Amino acid sequence: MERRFRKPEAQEVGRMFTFLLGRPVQVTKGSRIKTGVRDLWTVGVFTTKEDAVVGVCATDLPMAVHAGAALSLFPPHKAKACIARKAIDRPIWENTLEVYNVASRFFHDMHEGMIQVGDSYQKGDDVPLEVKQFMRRSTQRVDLRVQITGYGGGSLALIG
Amino acid sequence: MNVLIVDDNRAMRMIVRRTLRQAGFRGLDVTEAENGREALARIQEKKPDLILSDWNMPEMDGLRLLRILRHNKVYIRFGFVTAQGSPAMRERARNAGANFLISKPFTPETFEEVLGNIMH
Repeated sequence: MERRFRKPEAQEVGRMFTFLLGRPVQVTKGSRIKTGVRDLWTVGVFTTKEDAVVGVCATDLPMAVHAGAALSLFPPHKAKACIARKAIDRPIWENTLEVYNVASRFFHDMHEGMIQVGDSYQKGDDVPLEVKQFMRRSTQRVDLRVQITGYGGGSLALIG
Repeated sequence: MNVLIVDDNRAMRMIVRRTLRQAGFRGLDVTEAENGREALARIQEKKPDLILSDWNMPEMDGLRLLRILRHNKVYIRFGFVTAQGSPAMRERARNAGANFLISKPFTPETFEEVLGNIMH
């Protein structure tokens, strides 16, 4: 049975980030972020155990870096350095993956069994055609602007 | 009380530790493991009273760890701390012998509510 993505409200996403990062996080509706291969910076792909794609979380570089840094309380200047270099340090990236993992909750309605972060990509990685098509074709998406206190802002899209 | 935290993400292990403290649980002897396989070794060494385990982990996931423990008649209190919070996954956890499931993200209040009876 095909299920529909229940698009979360900005407030609900804000609560998730606030609880996860242990600091106030403001989330508001944002403008549509570009998810073409030339534009996007990070993508987490949510899959079932059988590897069927049920959702995608795409972020710009500042979002990925600020959230990843805040999770481990890395100094904000480390995040700023990543943004300046346009490259994500490995420990911060590992934390970004954990943020994706927790964000999988927004896709639990899509499948009765386990939803996991099946794959993840950064700019320059070879994103599979299936994932590109999923992002391009989906009309069920929510674009958000996120402001993490003490770190900074960024944009993300949840696509189901 | 000995507590074993099992999670493949170092930051999340730190957050679980911090949340235990914020929930008012002091004087704990906390050990960490990165996955189920490493947890089995830590369990032999430390004989924990409580295991807080992630579900999705490389090498050996939390469900497999729990099943091995229960199969071997090891009844240490075991709770999942996981992003998997759907009713179906909660039922799977219960059926495998988990005592509780805390969904990520969590708050100190959630820890206090769920773990209060176990810790005191």
